[in-house]
Amino acid sequence: MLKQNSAGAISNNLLLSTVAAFLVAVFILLAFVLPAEYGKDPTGLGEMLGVHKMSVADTTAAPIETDSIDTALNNTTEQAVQQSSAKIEGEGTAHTSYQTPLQFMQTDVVLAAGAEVEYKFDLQANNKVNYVWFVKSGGLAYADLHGHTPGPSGTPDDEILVKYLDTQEASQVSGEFVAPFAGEHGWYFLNLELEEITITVQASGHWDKHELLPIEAE
Amino acid sequence: MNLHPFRLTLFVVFYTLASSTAFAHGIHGPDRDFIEASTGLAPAAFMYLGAKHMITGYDHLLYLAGVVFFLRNFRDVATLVSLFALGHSITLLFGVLANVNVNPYLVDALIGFSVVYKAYENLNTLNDKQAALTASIPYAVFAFGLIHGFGLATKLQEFTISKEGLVSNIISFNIGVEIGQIIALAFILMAFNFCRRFAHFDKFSSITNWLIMIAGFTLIGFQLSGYFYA
Repeated sequence: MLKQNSAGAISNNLLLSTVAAFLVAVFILLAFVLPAEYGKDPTGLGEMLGVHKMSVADTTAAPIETDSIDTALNNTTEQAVQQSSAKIEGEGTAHTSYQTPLQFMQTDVVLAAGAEVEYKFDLQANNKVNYVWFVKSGGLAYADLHGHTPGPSGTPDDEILVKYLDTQEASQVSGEFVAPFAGEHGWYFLNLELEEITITVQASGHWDKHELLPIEAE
Repeated sequence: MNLHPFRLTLFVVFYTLASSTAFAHGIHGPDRDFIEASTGLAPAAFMYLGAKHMITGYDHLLYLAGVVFFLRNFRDVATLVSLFALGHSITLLFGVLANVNVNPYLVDALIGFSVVYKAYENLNTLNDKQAALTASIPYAVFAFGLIHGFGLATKLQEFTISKEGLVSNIISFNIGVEIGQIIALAFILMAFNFCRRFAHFDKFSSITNWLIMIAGFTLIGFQLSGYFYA
């Protein structure tokens, strides 16, 4: 395809290879890269070849299973989830500055009587999380929604804190918050009952990761 | 026997393209957590991250492969690679310390352009042996080194790095980048030297550089569309 020719054909050859390389790259972009990475398929080539957006599927968050929502949620919280999901989806297209894709998560947190735990999202500054949590089995839970990050010294002495919502006792809470700084943002949950409770947490937002953390002695 | 260089080319190029999705550029997961959580001096860890970023950074590797493609003696390799290292060290240090904000997509698109440019230069050299190591090549390598350095800087700037020990940590990262570069170069040079033994090396060179050029154009398009869509 690219042969060493006599001196006369050289510049044409070089020009031809460059143009050909460009065209091949354009094809790769249109057929694979744009559909797979950005979900854009202007030519329909991606669909023809069965290439679809992959970046959402790459995220570690498990998709919300609608079956468990139907059985576990009453109507009002279901609406709240749908509204918040719809809302943040709209935001996702309007704001292009998020560093991570929109993600969804759902998890069950089991707390023995009197047990406490933290559930945290690692967020960049200005990233938003829409959430709903409810007690799936058991009675009421205490929840403190806050965020923190180490201060300049890196020790707990000058830690930066933000309080979003303090819920003394509730069976369900939904809402949203925007992280004013990068760091860990989420709930401190405490079981005030004399029996084990299970809290279901669902959220959508632009986090780097989310995890259950045991309480550390401070 | 004659098929071997071609097979190797296909393997090298497709492996780099395939691994690109896995490493997807930037620093992620546990490495990212480590950088954000670390305070104070962590020379070995930052060195490791620098080396890892270079070895898994397909755009830097494609460019380096282009740079050393026709170099046969150690002095030429050392000169050009040092110029490249000097260039990217300057902008890596300057970019992070002065907190220069360059759009990562645009820098990475320029890095893609450096790959195309180098492949073009190589194809030109193949057609006209006199063009090999002309005066302009070292300048271009240094200039593109500056651009690659901004690319490295944007990767570090994605995190909130602790101010404590910042300078020495960046220098450690930079040293790691150079170590990673030497390791990667060793493999690249071995592969090219192996291919040189075959009679069809010229044909192999044309095809390889042509594929590198395609990869470069694809990188430009990938990054530019990221700039507009992401």
